[in-house]
Amino acid sequence: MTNRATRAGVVTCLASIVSWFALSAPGCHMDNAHLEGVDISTYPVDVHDDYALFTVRCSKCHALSRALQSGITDDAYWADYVERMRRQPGSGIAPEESPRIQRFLHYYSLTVRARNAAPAPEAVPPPSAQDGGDAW
Amino acid sequence: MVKRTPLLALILVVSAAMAVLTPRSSLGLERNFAGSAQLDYAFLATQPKATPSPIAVDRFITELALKMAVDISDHFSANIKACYGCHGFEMAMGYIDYRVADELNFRVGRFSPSFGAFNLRHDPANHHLTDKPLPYDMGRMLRFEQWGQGVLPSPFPDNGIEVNGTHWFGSALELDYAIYAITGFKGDTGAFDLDFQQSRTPMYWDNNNRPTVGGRVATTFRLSPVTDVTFGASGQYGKFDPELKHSYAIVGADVSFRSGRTDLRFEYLARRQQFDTSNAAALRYEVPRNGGDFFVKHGAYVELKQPVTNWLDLIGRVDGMYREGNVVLESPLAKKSSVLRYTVGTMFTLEQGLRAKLSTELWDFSDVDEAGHHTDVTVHAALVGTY
Repeated sequence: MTNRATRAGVVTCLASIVSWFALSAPGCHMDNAHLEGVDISTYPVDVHDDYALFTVRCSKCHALSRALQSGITDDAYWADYVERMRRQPGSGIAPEESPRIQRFLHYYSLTVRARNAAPAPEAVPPPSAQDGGDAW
Repeated sequence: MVKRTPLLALILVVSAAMAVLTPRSSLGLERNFAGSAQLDYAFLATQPKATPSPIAVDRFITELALKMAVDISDHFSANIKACYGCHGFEMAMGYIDYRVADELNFRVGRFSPSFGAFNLRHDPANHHLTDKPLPYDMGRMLRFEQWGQGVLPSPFPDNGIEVNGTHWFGSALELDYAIYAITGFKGDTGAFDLDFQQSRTPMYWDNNNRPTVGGRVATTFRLSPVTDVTFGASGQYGKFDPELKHSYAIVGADVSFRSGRTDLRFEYLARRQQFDTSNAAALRYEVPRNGGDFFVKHGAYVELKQPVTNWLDLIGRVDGMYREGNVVLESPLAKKSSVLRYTVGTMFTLEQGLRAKLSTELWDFSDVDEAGHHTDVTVHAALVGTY
C-alpha cells in the first residue's frame, strides 16, 4: 500500500466522520424525528407495535418510503400488497404478521386520506381508535 | 430460429390470454407504480488524471428504474420493469406469476432468476452503498475490463421459467426454494469468458439450444421477534457458446443476520468457467493436458449496516475476488490474482424517499496497473430517490 493511498484513505475516512458529527450537531438539521418513517403519536396505542413490526420487517429489503409513498389508501389493495411482499423469498414476514402490518397501513392510509382532503396540513384531524373500526 | 420458437410462442400466448381473459374492471384496480433514480459520482482520489478506460470511475453514473406491478386476480399477477443505466435502456422484468399456493408459483417471461441474497436488493434504492459488492459488480469496479466484471454481475435478467415458493413452519422457520430454466449467459465460439454485454443485448434469445438451469434454497430462522438469520445456497449451470462445447457453473452461499434494523450479511460466490484452448498461443500460460481449460473466479463480501438515527445509517463492507487460471496473452492479471476492497459509508435520509450516500473505498490489487499502483482510493457521492 503506498503512502499516498494511505493518506487519501485516512483523509476521506476522517471527512466522512467529521461530516457525520457535523450533521449530528443540535440545530444543524431539520426536524428529522420521523424522516424514514412516520409520526405515530396520534395513532391508537395498540397500533404502535404494529408500526414497529412494519419498520423492522419492511426495511429488510427496501426503504420504508417504498410503501409509505406508494399512494395506496385502499385496505384491500394493502392486503394484496403486503401479501405479495410476504411471499418474497426471505421476507421474514410470518403469515400471522401480515394482518398486523396491514392494520398499521390502514391507519396510515386514514391520515393520508385526511391530509389529501384537508385544505391545509394543520387542519388534518388525527385518527381516532374508532376510525375505520374493524372494516380494514 | 426454431429453438427459440417455443418460448416466444408461450409468451405470446400467455400475453394474449391475459389481454382477453382479464376482466375490464380489474384493469384499473391494484396497479402499482414504483421506481428509483440514483446519480453517483465516483472519484479516483489516488489517480485524479486517470483515463476512464481501463481504470474506470471519475464520472457520473445514473441509474433509473420504473416498475409496474398489476394484481390481476388473487393468483395471477404481472410485473414490468424498465431500467436505464450504463447500457442504456434494459427490460429488467416482463413476467407473469401464476400462484397456485404460497408453496407453488410459476413465473414465466423475463426476470432475474433466483440466485444469492443480494439480487433482491440490487436496485440502488434498496442497498445502502452506491455500488454493488464485488462478486455482483457490473462494470463499476476499478479495472473491471481486466477482471471481466464480477462473478455474477447483477442484475441478470433472462428469459425463461421459474418455479418458486415459500412455506412457514409455525412462526419460527421460513423455507424458500426456486428452480428455473433460462436462456443463460452467452459467449462467442472460441470465447475466453462469458460475454455479459452480449448476454443482455437484444436480440434476447438464446445463442444455443440448451437452456441454463439453476436453483436456490434458503431458510430463515426467527430467533426473537426482531431477530432472524437466513442461510441460502444457490447454483446455476449452462453452456454459453453456440457449439455447446464450453460450460460455466456458478455456486453461491449466503448468511444474513438481522436484529432490529441492523444487518450483517455475508455471501460467497464462485464461477468455474471453461474456455477454448485450441489456440494456445493466445494464452499466457502453458495449457496442461488435463484441467487447463477453465479458470475459477471466487468472490465474497461481508457487510454491516447500522442505523444510528432515523436519518443516518453507517455501513462498512469488506469484499474481494480471487481468480485462478490461465489468462489471455495481453491480460495484466496473473495466473493467481486477487483484489480486496474496504469500504466505509454513510447514508443520510434527507426526507422520506430521498437519500444521500457518501462512501470511501480502499482497493488493494495483487497486480499493478499501468501507473504502477497496487492500491487506490475512490470516493463516491450519490443522491438516490424512490417514488
